[in-house]
Amino acid sequence: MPIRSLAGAVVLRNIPFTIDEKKVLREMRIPKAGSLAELDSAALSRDIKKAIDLAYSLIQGQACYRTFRITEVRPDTIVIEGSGTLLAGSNMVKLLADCDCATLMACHIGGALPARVEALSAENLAEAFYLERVGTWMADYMADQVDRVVESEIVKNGYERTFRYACGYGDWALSHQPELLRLVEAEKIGLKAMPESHIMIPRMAVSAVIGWKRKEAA
Amino acid sequence: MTGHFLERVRREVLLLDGSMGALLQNRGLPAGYAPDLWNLENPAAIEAVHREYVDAGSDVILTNTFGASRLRLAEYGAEGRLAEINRAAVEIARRAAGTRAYVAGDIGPLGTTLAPFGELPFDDAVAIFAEQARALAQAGADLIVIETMFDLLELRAALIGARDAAPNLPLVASMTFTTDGLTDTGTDPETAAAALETLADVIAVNCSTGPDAMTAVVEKMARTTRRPIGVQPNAGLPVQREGRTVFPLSAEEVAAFGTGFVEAGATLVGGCCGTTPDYIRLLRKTIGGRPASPRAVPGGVKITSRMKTVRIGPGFPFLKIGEKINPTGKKAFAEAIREGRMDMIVAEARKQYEHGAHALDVNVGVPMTPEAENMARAVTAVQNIVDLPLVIDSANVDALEAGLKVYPGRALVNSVNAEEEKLERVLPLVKRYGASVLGLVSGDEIPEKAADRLRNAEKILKRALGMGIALDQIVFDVLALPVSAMQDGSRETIETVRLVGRELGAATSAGVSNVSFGLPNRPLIHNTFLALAIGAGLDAGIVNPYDEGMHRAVEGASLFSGRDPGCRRFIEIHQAKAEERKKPAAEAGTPKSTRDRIFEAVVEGERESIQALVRQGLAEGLDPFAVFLDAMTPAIRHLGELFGARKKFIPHLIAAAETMRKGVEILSPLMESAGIVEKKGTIVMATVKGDVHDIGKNICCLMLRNYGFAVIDLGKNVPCEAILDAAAKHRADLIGLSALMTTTMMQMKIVRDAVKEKGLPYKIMIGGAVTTPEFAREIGVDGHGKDVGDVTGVAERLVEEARGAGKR
Ligand code: B12
Repeated sequence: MPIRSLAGAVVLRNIPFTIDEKKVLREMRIPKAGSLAELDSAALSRDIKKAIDLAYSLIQGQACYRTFRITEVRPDTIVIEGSGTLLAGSNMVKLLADCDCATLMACHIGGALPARVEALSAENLAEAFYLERVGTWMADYMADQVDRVVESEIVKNGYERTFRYACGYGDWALSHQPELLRLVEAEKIGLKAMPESHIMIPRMAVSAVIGWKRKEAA
Repeated sequence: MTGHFLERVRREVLLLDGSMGALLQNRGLPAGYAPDLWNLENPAAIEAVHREYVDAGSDVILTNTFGASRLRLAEYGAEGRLAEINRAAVEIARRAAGTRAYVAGDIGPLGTTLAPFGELPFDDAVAIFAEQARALAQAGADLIVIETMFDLLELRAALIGARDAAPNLPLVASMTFTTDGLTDTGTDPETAAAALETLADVIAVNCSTGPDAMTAVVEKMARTTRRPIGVQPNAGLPVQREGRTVFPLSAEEVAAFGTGFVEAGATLVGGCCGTTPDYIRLLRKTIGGRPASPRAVPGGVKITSRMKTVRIGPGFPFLKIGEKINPTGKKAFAEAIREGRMDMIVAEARKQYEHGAHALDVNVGVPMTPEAENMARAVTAVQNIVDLPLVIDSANVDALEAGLKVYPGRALVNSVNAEEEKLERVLPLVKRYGASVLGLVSGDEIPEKAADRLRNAEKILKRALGMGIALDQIVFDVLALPVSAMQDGSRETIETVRLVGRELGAATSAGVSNVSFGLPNRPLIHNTFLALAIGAGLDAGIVNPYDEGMHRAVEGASLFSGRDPGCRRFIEIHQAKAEERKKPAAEAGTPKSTRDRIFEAVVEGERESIQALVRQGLAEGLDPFAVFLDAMTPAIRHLGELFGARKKFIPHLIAAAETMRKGVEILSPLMESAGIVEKKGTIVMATVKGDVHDIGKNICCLMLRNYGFAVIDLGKNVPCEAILDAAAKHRADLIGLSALMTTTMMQMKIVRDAVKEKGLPYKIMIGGAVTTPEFAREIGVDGHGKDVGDVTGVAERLVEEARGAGKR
């Protein structure tokens, strides 16, 4: 099988999803509660459930990813076919030094949920906050879904995946965000970065790189 | 080759071939070069590989056309030579096969994702597959193999396209499963088999994993469908060795699984990546020509989603189809559809799922709306959030088809009846998309007598069978009638359940809510009807999943109708319920004062009740200041302490803060008219320029207001000048700045420098994900707050400092 994301960006829309209460509670930093039923406050439990239900009708997961061959490993940068500057930093070099390819990815949950958070903020901040937390968790969730698809492509081709490394972490500066989005053709899913701050809009979004690590045979 | 391929593969084991790519590379195919082009450029090499396989004992060889579809050939600019390439490939294979092997035209995935998940429209995919299948069929292929598919929807498109182009050739549908036993898009082997058996003649698994993981897949498929099963493992999971992809298992290791495959139910066995003629030779030796193993396959009508299969028929759990996605008689719902909104549909889908529906009916028929388009959107939206099988419900054939095109599973089409026009228009759709169908036993009119309804059922069945739609694709709707108006007819409905079951051996369903029109206590009528009908043998119903009584009626009636062996399900459900009832109810306790109840409402975040409580307190003569100072303020401070002790968390804090705000809404006008309310201090809050994250800051504002500060919230993405203007205008004591990212937090320094430069009197505090006390010190601001729990403390301290310094 040829590597399909080498030929061009792969776009995914309508990513199926389930909102896991337990994960949402964790995102809200409520330790120990495994489910809404276990929560010590009935009002809180009801409100979070309401936010989850609302989120179901607002989230639209979409993503794009594209794979590039790694052509050179420099001390401070990994050079890929599309760019000699994007994959910079010592963490990056550590991550991708034993890789043949790198998949760039970007995803978001759509603009409807953040817009509703904003509208709700004026009238009921608690509800806005719960919805925000569901949304932020789901942005990560969408990234995991893409991750699964990419991982499967990696394994099929006889490689191991690296962990997912997001732009803006460690020494991979956020100033690389616009180039990353350009290379994955993020405009296809309506995702762009603000000038200067490089914040992605819609804001519940994730961008990252995953490496194709050579698996040495036993 | 003697005999028809399909007849043979039903009876005995036939051998496929192994990998082509690696053998061509040995013959000089450059890495990365399209093997399909070699059909024209180096036919001798291809023929030699085929010959090796035939000599090794392959009964079926696959043409070298895995990537010879328009879309894939376009990657090399060779799409114009599609017919030529596919024809050449069949001819080469035929030369090598002679009369010793069948030639299978090979089709692979398109390398893109179909809408609605991806971008390629379903119809385009069908046309692309049809084009290649036509070329293969016209060149004389004996059968078509569609393989290495990981998306059920794409495979459906391929099968439909191939059937269009080659109506008489056997079709083999082969999917790829990962080591967790699912396809990349989450389909399990049972569901793949159930969804594909109506479209393909042989169902298979290939590529992706080694042989060990595949035996279980074969077993699951063989237990689901009566179709012959195929299997083509890789020579293990690939690894990279010196820059090359290598498949580690030897021919002996792979062949050792042969017997297991056959015992699990496979009759078409070969190899995929990494296998060579040696592998086939050994497989031939171990299993070649063996008779097919006997298989036990349960009956029932199957419907599936992408990830789930349910069965309808005697002995299976009664199937509850949720009725709620339907605009009939629901104004708000119809309005949402008219506006093109899917939110209500999604909400009902979730709710029905949570209330235990097994499948969902989807009806979006609203007059004067584009129903086909809405159906496609609704089916897509529902699938995004629940994995239940769907019943696509419309009187409009185009809407049915639009729904089927975005649905990867095997849907239940609702519905056909015995009217000529319906039969002619709906059954071809059912056939084409391999769906199951609900057959209403009405004709031009609704017959009263069961015998007449049976006649309609027979008519539908006969027509369906004639088109190649099987009995296990049809569920008969026995026509539940309003008992208030048609008492005899209603009795006949129950009789129809018996008759259709007995005479046709077919599954039955009913739209339960119809029975109660015009009568009081409708749920009782539904559930009585359900119990009677299930007793008579009803297999499924379109029901209201929100009615607990419905679930109880089904559980009870299932005991008497062979649907709950050993009463296991019943015991399980009702034992759990009994446990629940044993739990002590919350103790009533002594009646509390209104002040205490206000305190508690704030602590518990009881937003709904706070305003009523405050009003009650005022009516009882409590002073507004007392409510604010002696009930609410201690409550929020108490919560702050619990937060500090990690007994309550940020969500609790926010719920309480919002509750307090609602209470204060009532108190404010009273307090203000009673006298000047002394504010603790004035704070201008803003998320800095370039940053759009403001919920964290908003929460801080709310909390500060509850603590008695005057807060001017400027929102997000606020430039320095606007902050300074507002601070001047409102004579602020303090400026609070928020930023979430390193790229925006430097704006804080800009504000700070402007304040210092102009010698302005404001203190500055900062907060937000990336900020730290060190950063605050570094840029020379006065304070840092880490979260909503300490923002008030920081503000109190800074305002005091500001005022104490006598700046005012
Ligand atoms: C949840 C989260 C996400 C979510 C949601 C983001 C969103 N809010 O829209 C998702 C998954 C989408 C996400 C994505 C990204 N994220 Co993020 N994310 C976080 C995380 C874990 C929590 C942020 C949060 O929402 N907190 C909850 C809110 C309510 O808290 P808050 O805003 O901080 O406000 C509280 C306090 O700070 C304080 N406060 C706030 N304002 C003020 C003001 C004053 C005056 C005071 C006193 C107090 C105060 O009180 C508030 C209430 O308690 C942070 C790390 C962290 N622990 O903070 C990283 C973090 C912000 N993310 C980071 C990064 C890098 C990213 C991405 C760029 C990664 C990527 N490449 O995909 C993207 C960018 C998205 C975009 N649109 O551009 C980095 C930023 C580093 C940097 N270089 O700037 C962080 C800091 C993680 C890290 N450790 O590096 N992220």
